[in-house]
Amino acid sequence: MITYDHIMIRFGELSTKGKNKKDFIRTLADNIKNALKDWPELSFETRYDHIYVGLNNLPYEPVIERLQDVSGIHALSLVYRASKDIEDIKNSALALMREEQGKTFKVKVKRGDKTYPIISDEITRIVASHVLRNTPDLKVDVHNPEILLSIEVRQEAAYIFSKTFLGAGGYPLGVGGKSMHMLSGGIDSPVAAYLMMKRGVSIECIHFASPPYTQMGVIYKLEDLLHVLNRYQTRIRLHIVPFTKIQEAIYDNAPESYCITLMRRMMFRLADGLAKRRKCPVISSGESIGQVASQTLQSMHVINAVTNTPVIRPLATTDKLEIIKISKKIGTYDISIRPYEDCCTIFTPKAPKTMPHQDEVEAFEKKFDYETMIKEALNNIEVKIISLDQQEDNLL
Amino acid sequence: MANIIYLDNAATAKVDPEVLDSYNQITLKYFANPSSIHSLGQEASRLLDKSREQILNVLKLTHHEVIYTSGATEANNLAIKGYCFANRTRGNHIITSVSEHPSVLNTVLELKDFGYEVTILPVNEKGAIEVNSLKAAIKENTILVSLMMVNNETGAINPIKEIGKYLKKFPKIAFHVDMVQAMGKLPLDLENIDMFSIAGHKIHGLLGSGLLVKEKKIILKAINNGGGQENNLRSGTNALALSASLAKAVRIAISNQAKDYEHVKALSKKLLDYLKDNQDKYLINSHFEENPYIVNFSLRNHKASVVVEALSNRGIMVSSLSACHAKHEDYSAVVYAMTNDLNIAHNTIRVSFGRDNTLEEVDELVKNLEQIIKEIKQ
Repeated sequence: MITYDHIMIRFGELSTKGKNKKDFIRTLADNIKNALKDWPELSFETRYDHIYVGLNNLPYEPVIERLQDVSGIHALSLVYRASKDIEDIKNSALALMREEQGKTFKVKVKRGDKTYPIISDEITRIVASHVLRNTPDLKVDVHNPEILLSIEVRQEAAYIFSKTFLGAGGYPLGVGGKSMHMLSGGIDSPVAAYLMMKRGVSIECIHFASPPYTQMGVIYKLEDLLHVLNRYQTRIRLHIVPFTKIQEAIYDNAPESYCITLMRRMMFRLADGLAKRRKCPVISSGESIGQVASQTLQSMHVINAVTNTPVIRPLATTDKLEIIKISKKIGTYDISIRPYEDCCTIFTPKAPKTMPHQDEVEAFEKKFDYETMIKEALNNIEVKIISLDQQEDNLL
Repeated sequence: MANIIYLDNAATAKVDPEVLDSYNQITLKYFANPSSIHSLGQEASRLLDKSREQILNVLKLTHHEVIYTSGATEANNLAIKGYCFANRTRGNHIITSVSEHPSVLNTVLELKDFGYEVTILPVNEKGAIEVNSLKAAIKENTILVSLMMVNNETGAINPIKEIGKYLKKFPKIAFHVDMVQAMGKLPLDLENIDMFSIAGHKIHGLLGSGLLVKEKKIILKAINNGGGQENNLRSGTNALALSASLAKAVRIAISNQAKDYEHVKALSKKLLDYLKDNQDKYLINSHFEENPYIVNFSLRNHKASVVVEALSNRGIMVSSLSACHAKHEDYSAVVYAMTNDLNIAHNTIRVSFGRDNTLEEVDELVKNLEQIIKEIKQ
């Protein structure tokens, strides 16, 4: 029996990217190999406009499923690699068609190798008539075929396929650089992280912990969230910043209604300091306009004033229901809703400022030496690496 | 006894050392109460959550939850009483079968005292339930069907997949399946099942561990009340080491299912070949060769209890009646329901295989059985 033996990977938007294309493809190829390293049997071939994964008799479903999470892939086709001999092409096509379910078909030929002596139309006719002659109930339907049999004749071989799957799209992870991502453990920040990754940006995460007001459960929750995101970025660095002292100082020196604004400013200062140290040119967060008091435009203005580093907010204009939908799709929702308090939800003021004034904020900040505290916090960061190949302890 | 040949795996299977190792490690390291909020308790709670998640992943279930219990008896009680008590307003009719394990049958019968109606389906001559008899039993007020996938005495396989599909037409009826003898042994199709029970010790896990898996939307009333553990359905401090080791036992059982099946198939074929060649002495009660794990046969001319005792004296452990019935009745109700022959039902022997058994052990069994049958009085 004849079976599909390769997966053909088509690139997404990067085909438009001119001279950077080589780097992009190299990065994508590395990401693909990394994502598939559980299957040492697979082989890889990178060519100018496709990457080929040789299945070597492995079932294709789990491999395709894995690849659908790799950003920068436009589409995936399950292909059979035939020689360029027209006899081989038509016989392989017939054998593959016999395995298909469906009553109508159409043959579509692309002749990438322009030196190939038979033109596309002629190949189409040869293959289609061969299939028609040798199958009892298949008919041609050029408008709405149940089976679209594609043949691509390239330099190295002819590829025959009928099954194509959509990829994740976006850019290969890493080509967009690196962002310091603010991760709280709620619903939004993991979704924002996913969108950054999809755009080709790899992330490091910064989290603010206020023990004993916040619990260890939050950290476990973050680990579990990042473990889900490992599907897209196989290794993620999580920086846990001790925030208790700063938070206590804020509550000692500012009225309750201003505390959230001050906290967010401190967090951005810390994220900025860490971003510089970790060579991340941008900061990203899960903020969405108007969702809470600290996310009104006026609040964003006052909070953002502490840094010149660009802050990317992929969810800025997305509404909550849409965010929830994405989080369910990527599998972070159930973890996000575990009931643990993070440092933004403890001591929540009854009436937080939605229109904070920068001069007032600055006056409160002058009352304590936050700069030293920030330095101290940055020097006491705990780092965890969350990665795909992290072996769960063998207890389970 | 130096060399024991253990062929009573359907009663209980020897614990897998890897499972025991997890149990020991967790008992020593994660001894805190998973409900405590200190970090040790939280770590325990996290391991507990992960174990549940793993079970659902391994079984490829997405809309379900895991309730840990002390075993399948408790899981069956919770499923049946819990569902009937919580859904009394929907109806009061329960359907089960004559071949069920006592933990199902007696639970259902007890509900009669609480005003529930019960239909007990018969089995056919192969020991399985007929889909048509189930269809005929469904009434306006039916709320629960509880059936086993594999019979523990004969190994008969019930048409669970077909029944599950049919019952989907009746949104008011929940379908509970006792999976105890099927889990890890046969390929499972869990798609149209609302609840199912598993026992750890039948899949080389620990005695005292078990679970009920149910679809999240199924509402149960707790049988054990207390501190609200297990999503308020089974109060009592969770025995984390048992629960987590069960998750491991399930994982090992499922991942080895195909391989173990082939191995056990060869064992049972050997025994069945011998029994088929000697039909003057034996009547085979197991009619499902798709399930090689249990081979049940009756002695035509000898007393089973004597033969089981004689085999036991030679270090070979098999069952006459299933261990759960052994103390109460002196004949197999299931085999009686199949054959309508009291002598045959009196003299059943059950050989149940496990992944550790070998072909040599089956040879020994056959050799000794042959000798004993010759030696003892008819």
